[in-house]
Order: sequence, then structure tokens, then C-alpha cells
Amino acid sequence: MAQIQRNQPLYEKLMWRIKSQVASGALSAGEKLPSVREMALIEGLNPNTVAKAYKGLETQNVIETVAGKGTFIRLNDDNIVDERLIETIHQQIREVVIEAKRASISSQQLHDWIDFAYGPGEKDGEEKL
Amino acid sequence: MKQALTLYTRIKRKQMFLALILGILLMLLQLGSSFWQDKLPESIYSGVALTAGWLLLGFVSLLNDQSRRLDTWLYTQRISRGQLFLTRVLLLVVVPIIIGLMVNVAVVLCVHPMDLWKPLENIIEVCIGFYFFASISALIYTVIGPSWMKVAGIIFTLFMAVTPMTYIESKLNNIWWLDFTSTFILATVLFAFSYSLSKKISADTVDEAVRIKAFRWPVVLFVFLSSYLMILSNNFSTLNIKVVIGSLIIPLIASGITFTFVFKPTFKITWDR
Amino acid sequence: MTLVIENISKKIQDKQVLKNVSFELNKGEIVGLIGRNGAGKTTLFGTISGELIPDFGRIGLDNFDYLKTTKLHDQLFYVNMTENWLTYYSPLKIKDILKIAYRNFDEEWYDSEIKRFGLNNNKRIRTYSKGMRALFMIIASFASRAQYVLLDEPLDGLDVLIRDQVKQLIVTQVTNQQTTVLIASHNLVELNTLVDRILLIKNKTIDRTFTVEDNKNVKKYQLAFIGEELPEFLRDSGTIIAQTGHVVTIVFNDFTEDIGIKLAGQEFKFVEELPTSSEDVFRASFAEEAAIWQQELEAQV
Repeated sequence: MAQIQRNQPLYEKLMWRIKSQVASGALSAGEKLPSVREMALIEGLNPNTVAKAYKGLETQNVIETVAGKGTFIRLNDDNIVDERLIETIHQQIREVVIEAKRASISSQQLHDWIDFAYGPGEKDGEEKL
Repeated sequence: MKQALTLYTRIKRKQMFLALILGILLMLLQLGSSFWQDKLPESIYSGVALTAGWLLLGFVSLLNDQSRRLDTWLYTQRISRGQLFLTRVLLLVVVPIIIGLMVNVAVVLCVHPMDLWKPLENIIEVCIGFYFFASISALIYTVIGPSWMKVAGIIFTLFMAVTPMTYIESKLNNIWWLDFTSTFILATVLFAFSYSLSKKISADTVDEAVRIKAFRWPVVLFVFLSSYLMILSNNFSTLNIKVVIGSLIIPLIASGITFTFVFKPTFKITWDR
Repeated sequence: MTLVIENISKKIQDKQVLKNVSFELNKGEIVGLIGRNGAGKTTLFGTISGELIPDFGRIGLDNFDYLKTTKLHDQLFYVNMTENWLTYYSPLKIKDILKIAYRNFDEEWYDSEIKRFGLNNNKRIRTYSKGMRALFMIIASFASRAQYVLLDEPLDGLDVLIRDQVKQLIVTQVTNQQTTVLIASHNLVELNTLVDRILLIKNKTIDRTFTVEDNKNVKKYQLAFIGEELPEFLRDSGTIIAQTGHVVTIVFNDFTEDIGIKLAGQEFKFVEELPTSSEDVFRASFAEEAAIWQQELEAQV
């Protein structure tokens, strides 16, 4: 999924990936993340890129670093989760649109598919995104 | 210094053990043969045999250190170059000589020859000889790079030293203690000199004939002068202009060869295309 | 704790190999040292570790002159990867010696790693395969628990599987022990996932220091130009990664509006933006000359 998005720095992509994992519940509060160096090796990124992503996530209160212990997913209240969830969905839609353009799929077609996915009676939902 | 001794003995434990075994074997051989041939007085040299065996194996193991790059590694260790030098002198020269000396004295006391003094004097003379020999070897080991050149250098220097040494010795022979002490002091000075040089040895010069730049010309000059003087002194009785010039040939060749090894001039050989 | 290399100069056989080399290594850093074969990487390592005596310069470790302060010498571990005396011994014997040589030697970890990688404890390192030998040297390096570990081409000639294991080992150790690692390679991209910064050794000295800057302005394009010659502004503003005929793949380190306007011009048949990979960003972080030189090297191999 991540490769689809262009014009986006690698550290932002990593931020998104971690955020969506938190949002989806794949990563839960208090869970330890790999160290910057380990993550760099796993993701095939330069350590500086990972460090930048971690720093970004920290200012957004997604993760926290405990000196000498490591980096953990923050114990968070529901508000933050909601915001993140929305952000993640927004991001995914943007990625879908870019791919759709590449495949010459019209905006109308995409809307139709979304409407179909929502089912009858919920058509207004996507406008808020 | 303690670290240097601990580390070096730990690394060389096996070789030192081997050197000791060889020394003891030589010693037993000497003892056995002197008993066998009923030449009891000769048994006093058994300790000398022990020392000789140890020294020889010690020197071979030094050459081995260099070719296996142990020297290079030790330079990076928690010991200084000077400490490494001293450790080697202590373990590979001083200890074997002292142990040999002690064995000798013990044997002498057991055998109880008529004249107790004469054999002891002989033994001390041999030991100081070893010490002197070792000091020259240490200097050459330090200054000369490649192993075969070290060996060749030691053989050459000893060969050249024979004539003047016997000459000096014949002059001093009546006053034996002067002979001993002067040799001992000379050897100690040589060791001290090599010690100060050992601090300047960089691992990258291992393939160079002369590892210290300032010594390049002196080495060439030494080869020339020593061989020239030796040839001259051998023909001392028939000294004339012909001999003086004729004697130049061998020293010139010898120092010429040394020069090429030391300075490695690259002669460009080109073939026309 | 900082190791400071100050103005190191060294001649070997009357040839200048290093001239005024200066840089610093800080605690917990992994720093890459990149240079052509014969650029002086091994000489630099030999000089820092004390094998060689520099003609000029100083190496400082926390206000001490490192080369003169031998008691500090178990704070730095370096052996030549392929030619060193340890290879004449088995891991078991090497342990006995390193225990004396390095005060903080971690026997337990050493034993467990030897076991984990299935290295034969009683066989001389010489008889090992190249990969296993490299693995052993890295285990020995970190088992010393020296603050500074110098690795000269540790990944050279290893197959991918072992290379990943070696990288993993380095990363785990640096993370756990805060070791500082200086790692030399002639393969630039290889170091991407490991290093915090890169020192480029060129013309006998540290020519530049690079840090990977992952910013929004790095962009990668594939494009086809129309004319005979590659438009000049491409070479000036980007790093060409591949070129087949008129089709060029290029990374712009700093993509400006100006470049965008030029790309929209008549000179191109098609222009398509591609997703950037970490490797692209890494390459783009280097000056163009470094990237070209890297291509040259890759072409040689």
C-alpha cells in the first residue's frame, strides 16, 4: 500500500504505517516498538529516516520514548484514537485515488463503488472525509 | 608491564614450553655423552646446551610472530612497543640464560671437579657470549624488516664481528673480569638502543629492509666498511696499493646489493613496441 | 565519550596515503567510511588502532592522547578482517587470550554466539569459510566490549544471508551496548540501513561527511528526452540512476518549481514520477560525483 503514495517522504510513510497499525489494533497501547536501528534494518530504511518518523510520532503523542527502556505505543484516550482513525482512512483514500488515476478510473466510478460498499441509506457518510 | 608479561606468556605458553623441552633434551644429550665418553668435566656444559636450545627456538618463534602478524596485533594492545620489547628480552634471553646458568652451577657442584673456578669462569664466559649474541640479534630483529634479511643480517654481523672480537679478547684475556664486564656493558647498551628504536617501529614497514629511515645509509655503510676492514685485516701482512684496491671489490658488491634492497630503486625496463 | 582524529597524515613507502584526516566518533554511533579500494581506509584503521605510527597528527580519547595512553587500548577493537594472527587459533584458544587482552571481555556472550551460529570451537579460524570467518571476527570484536569497534569491509564477499546476519549482529550490539562502530566499505548502498552518517575518503583525506536527509524535496522521475543529448540541467540538478537510450531514471535531491517547469517543457516525450525508495534518498544525499563514482565501481564489479 505504501508504495502507491508518491511525493511523500519515507519517514511520513513509516509514520502512517505505524499509525494505521495502532488504529487497526495491530499495535496496542504499551507495546514496545523495535529500536530505531532495528526498525531501519527491518524496513530497509536509513536510521535517520526512522529516527525522524519516531520523533514525529512522539510529538503527535502516538508513541513515547522511555530513556534506557525503549519506545512504546502510548497509553491513549479514545479521542486520539478517533482522530488517528480518521486520518488513516483519509490517507488510504488518497492512495486509492492516485492508483485509480493511474488505471484511468473515473471519479464517478470510484464514487459508485464507495456508495455500493456503504449499502443503501448511508450515502452521506463519505462527504465528511 | 605486568599486562605485557601476562599477555605475552599466555600467547607464547606453548612455544616456551617447547623451547624448554628442547633445551632439556639437549642438556640430557650433553650430560649423557659426557658420561658415556668418561669426560665428566664436559658435563658442565649441559646448562649451556639448554640455554642454546631455548634461545634458538625463541628466535624462530619471534620470526613466526612477525609472519603471523602477531607483532601487528600486539601494537594495538594494552601494552606499549617498549614493554613488548622488554618482555621479549626478559622471556627469550634473560630467563633462559639464568636457568642455564643455574643448571650449570648445580652440575658443577655435583661433579666436583678438582678446579672449581676454571669451569665456572668458562660458563660465565659462554653466558655472556650468549647475551652479547642476543643483543646483536635484538638490534637486527628490530631494525631489519623481512625475516630472511634478519637472519642474513645476523649471520653477516656475527661473521664480521669474529675478527675484531677475538683481537680485543686476546688483548684483554689476562684481565678476565674486564673482558666480561666490557662485553656485558656493550651488550646492555645495545639492548637499550634497540629498546629505544623499538618504540618507533610502525607495522607498515614490515616489508622494508631497513625499518627506520635514518638507518638506511648507515646500514649500507656498515656493510661496506665492515667487510672492507675484515678483508684488509686478513691481508695485513702483505699490505700494498694493489691489495688495498683489490680488496674493494667484494665490499662494493656486498654494499651494492644491500643498497638495492634498502632503497629499492625501481629500474625501468622498457621494450620497444 | 568521543574519539577525535586530528590531522592524521601518513606516508607509506615514501608515498602520501593520508593527509590531514580529521573526524570525530561519538558514543553509540555507526559511521560509514566509504572510499575506493586503495583510498587509504585500511591505513586509516591501522593508524587509529596503533598498528601504524602516524607521521603527523593526534588521536584523542576523552582528553587523553590515545596512541600514547596504552592503558586505554582495550577501549578499541580492530583486527584486519582477513589477515590477522587470530586466524591461526581456534575460538576456544582465542577466548583465553582475549580474556587477558580486554578487561571487559564478555565470555558468556562470546560462548553463546559461537554456539548460536554453529561455529566449531576447536577448529582454527583459518579453516573456516569466508562468511563464517567474518562472522567470527565480528563476534570477537563485540565480545571485547570495547567502546570503539572498527570493521574493515566486514560485508565484503559474503552471501546475502550471512550479510543480513552480520548487520543484525552489529545493530543489536550497538543498541544494547552503545558501542561506537566505524565501518568501512567500498559499496555505498550496502551501508544504507546501518549508518548514521558517512565519511567519504578521497584524495588522501576525508573529503566530505554525508547524512541522509529525508525531506519532501527528494523526487524520482522516469523520463524520455527527445533530442540527441541529455538536457544539461538534468545532470546539474539530479543524480542519474539509470539510462537506456533516451529513457532516464533520475533522482532530484532538491526538487524545485523551476525543475518542474523545465520537465513540463518540449524536450521530453514523457515524464513520470516514481516512488522514491530509501536507497534513492540515500544516493541522492551524496554529491553527484560520489554517485557517479559509485556507478563506476558497480560497473567494474
